[in-house]
Amino acid sequence: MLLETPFHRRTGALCHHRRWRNWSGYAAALSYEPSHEYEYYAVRSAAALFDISPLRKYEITGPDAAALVDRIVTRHAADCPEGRVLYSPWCDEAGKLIDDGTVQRLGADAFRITAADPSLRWFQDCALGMDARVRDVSLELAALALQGPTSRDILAGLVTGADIASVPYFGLAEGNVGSVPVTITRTGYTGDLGYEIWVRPEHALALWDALMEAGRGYGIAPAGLDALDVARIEAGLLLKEVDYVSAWTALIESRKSSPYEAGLGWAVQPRPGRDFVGGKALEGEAAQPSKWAFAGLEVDWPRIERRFASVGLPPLVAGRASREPVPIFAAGTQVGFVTSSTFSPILKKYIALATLQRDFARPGDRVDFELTVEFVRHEVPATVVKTPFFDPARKRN
Amino acid sequence: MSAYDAVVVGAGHNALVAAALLAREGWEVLVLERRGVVGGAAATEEVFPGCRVNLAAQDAGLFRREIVADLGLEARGLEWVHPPAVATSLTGGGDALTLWRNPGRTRDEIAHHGPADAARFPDWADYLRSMARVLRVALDHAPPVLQDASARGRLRLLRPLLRAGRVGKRTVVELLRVLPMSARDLLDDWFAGEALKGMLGTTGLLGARQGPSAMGGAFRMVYHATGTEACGFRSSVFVKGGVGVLSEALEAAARSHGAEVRTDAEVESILMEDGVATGVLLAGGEEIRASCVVSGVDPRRTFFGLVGAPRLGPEFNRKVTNIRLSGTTASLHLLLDGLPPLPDAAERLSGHTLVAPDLEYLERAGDDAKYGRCSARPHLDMVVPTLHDPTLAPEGRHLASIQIRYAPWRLRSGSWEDGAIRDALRSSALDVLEEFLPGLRARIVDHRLLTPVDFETELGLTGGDEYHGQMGLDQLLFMRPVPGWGRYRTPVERLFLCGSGTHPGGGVTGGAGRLAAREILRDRKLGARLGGRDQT
Repeated sequence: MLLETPFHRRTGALCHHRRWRNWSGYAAALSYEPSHEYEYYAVRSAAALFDISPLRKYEITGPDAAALVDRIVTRHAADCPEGRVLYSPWCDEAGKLIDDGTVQRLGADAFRITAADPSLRWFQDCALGMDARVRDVSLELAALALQGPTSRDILAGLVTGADIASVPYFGLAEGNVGSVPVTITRTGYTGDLGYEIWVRPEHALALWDALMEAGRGYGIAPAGLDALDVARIEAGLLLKEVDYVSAWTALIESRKSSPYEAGLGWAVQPRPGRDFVGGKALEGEAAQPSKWAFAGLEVDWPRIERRFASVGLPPLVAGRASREPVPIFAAGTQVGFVTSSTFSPILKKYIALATLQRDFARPGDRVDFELTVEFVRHEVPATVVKTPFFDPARKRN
Repeated sequence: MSAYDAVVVGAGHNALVAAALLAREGWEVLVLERRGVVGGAAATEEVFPGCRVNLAAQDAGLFRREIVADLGLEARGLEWVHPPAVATSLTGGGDALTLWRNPGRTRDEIAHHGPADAARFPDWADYLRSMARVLRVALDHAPPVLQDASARGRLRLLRPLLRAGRVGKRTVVELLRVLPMSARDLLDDWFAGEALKGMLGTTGLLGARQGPSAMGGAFRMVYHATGTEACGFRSSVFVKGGVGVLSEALEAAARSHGAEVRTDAEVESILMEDGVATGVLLAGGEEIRASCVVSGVDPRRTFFGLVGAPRLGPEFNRKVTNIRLSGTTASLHLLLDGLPPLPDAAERLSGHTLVAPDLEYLERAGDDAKYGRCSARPHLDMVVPTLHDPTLAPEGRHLASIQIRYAPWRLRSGSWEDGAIRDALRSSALDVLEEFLPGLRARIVDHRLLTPVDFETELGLTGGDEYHGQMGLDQLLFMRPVPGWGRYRTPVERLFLCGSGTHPGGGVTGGAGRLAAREILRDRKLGARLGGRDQT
């Protein structure tokens, strides 16, 4: 029996065919319509509304709050100004990824961290000997993501007490929707212009209704995880346990990934005198890079079509994002594997997130993608490209 | 440039052993002791006017004789006392069962209580000796690093096994069978007499919070039989002048090799740069630089008190948090105007005098501790040091130091600050003692009670745990002090541990200090640095 989020009375009524996925124990809609395509286009050309309440949320407060957050995450969080948000992974002592999420700085001594999986004990262990309090607020906060080019206009017309137009990329504002107090962060998992709205669960339905009402003229559509999965691959964003395996769940050492191996090297920010969990190990890895690297791949679509055509089939590539690992070869030798892949409707390309040996992961490198057609394995060419695959200017402007 | 090669935090007996052994290799060593005297829990002090009292540790029979020879301690005032009685169990109503140093006498004595047990006792003594001999091999080697897959590492892992194998493969297998057993199960295999089993079972309680039915009790029994003499029981060897004389001899040895020893010098924190220990900060604000820091302080106090949890990793901190540090013992020191009226008192009371009439008595005492209470009828272990050295007290006076078990550091209700709780503990101990040794109470001139909280505040023992961590099977060998850090090193480079919280463990053994010194000398990184220092 899956749990229901505070929005379930609305999402449940809309999700006619009951395609639910278990997201941290909650029922999360895969799509509201039989196919996710309309919902995907809402993300890219109008506004899509996602229920992201199953995220884990932690509040860190106290005189040492900034020092504690800075100790937990790999990014230099102590530098994060009030009213800003930053994305960061965090690692174990060996510098291997545990989880990733956003860090909201609510005040000088108050932060909120989102995580994919339960992290209270870890954060509290990190807090040992520090004057800071870690609280699990997962049940005290419901959340919606409003993503897409019209999201700013919808919110601007709805929110009082905050100037939505002036909230920068990864900015944070406190305001009201009607009489409901909300925290708004300009963040998301789609790589598009978008916001996440944090609210007390008792106000959840009022917020949903207000957004759906205000969004009516802006093409708003409730959207599910299938659309989100396509959008996040286009945005080059990682999914825990799919694109990397958490150090906590990896059964063997080689399954673990460091931020460098997962393409998050930019988020490792050592500073003189800064001591964060895993920092020492990562310093060693920076000096002596791992043989693995993260890469975006564009797979040659006409070749895929031709392979299928040769047996008389149209390309039977799932319309949805695939989480099936796929081997990658170079000159007949396996040099890595794809972790997520999808046909990008907006780019009209078949794209993939991959873990490759460093020597094959430079932009422009040519590799081969394994494609199985009618039970026969083939290789089709693919090119390493920079991520994000899709990066509209409106995301930041 | 560092002022010292090594600064040693604390002057407990293990710290002094480490300091002396490092100084002997030509290292410049400074020992810093918070208190005014050296020895830590192995100190002898004036508790009553004109009397020298062993504050906590009484028995030094586990002290490694190799260290005595290496450091020439016997030339520095150390003199052993081997009293005629190993231990005497008070069996009630003024009756007693004594294990004598002379095996024939022991056999005769046990025969009075049970002829079958008397016949088995010599075999038991041999058995315990052979078990102890194998265990000694493990205790005298630094524990293996299980994750070290190098050929060299594997060889080091094998060496103690090979040595133990030479002692006898069957003995090794038998030891592995026996170590996890409870004291009760092991003793039930051997004896019938309740008094004898109660007495022998007491060593299974040392360094544990549980009674004789708890797993691992057999390990503790063997551990306490690793002393030099095999008598079928624990060591019962004392130091003339008090156990503090051993610590003073160690201090003298350290000084003679060039080490400095400063008392009344409290280390407030360990200085670090980029995760490397660089020295210590004293409470007065003085900074002392050293190429390495060696802490004889218990692991939790070292890491959380002197280093600080935020400077260590959360996974490591979790392990340190989970170390079971829980004192269960209080000490009651008595000044007496004469020996208690027991036949042959001067002989019978010369070893450990125990109130442990049977295993069930011990179990019930342990039950109280399990629920956070002091034992209503505690197990007592009394030593009369004036029978080893009459000069410890004025003429005509005797001293008795009694370990009261159990007096848990963490009480379920009430606080050790509460005088009524201390009074209750003292009177329950004295009531029991009067019952088993009638006439003692009338001889008491003065008394002083040290609770686990007193041990914590006066001797710096976290949780009042004189073993620096319980001697449970999960806190031994490569798991002591925490898994992954069993070789005296720490996550802080150039910070080492050398106290009872490390392998082989608690008691006055000197083993931890000796093995730590050996590992520190072996530490190649440090060696390179010190090599550089010598050239300048």
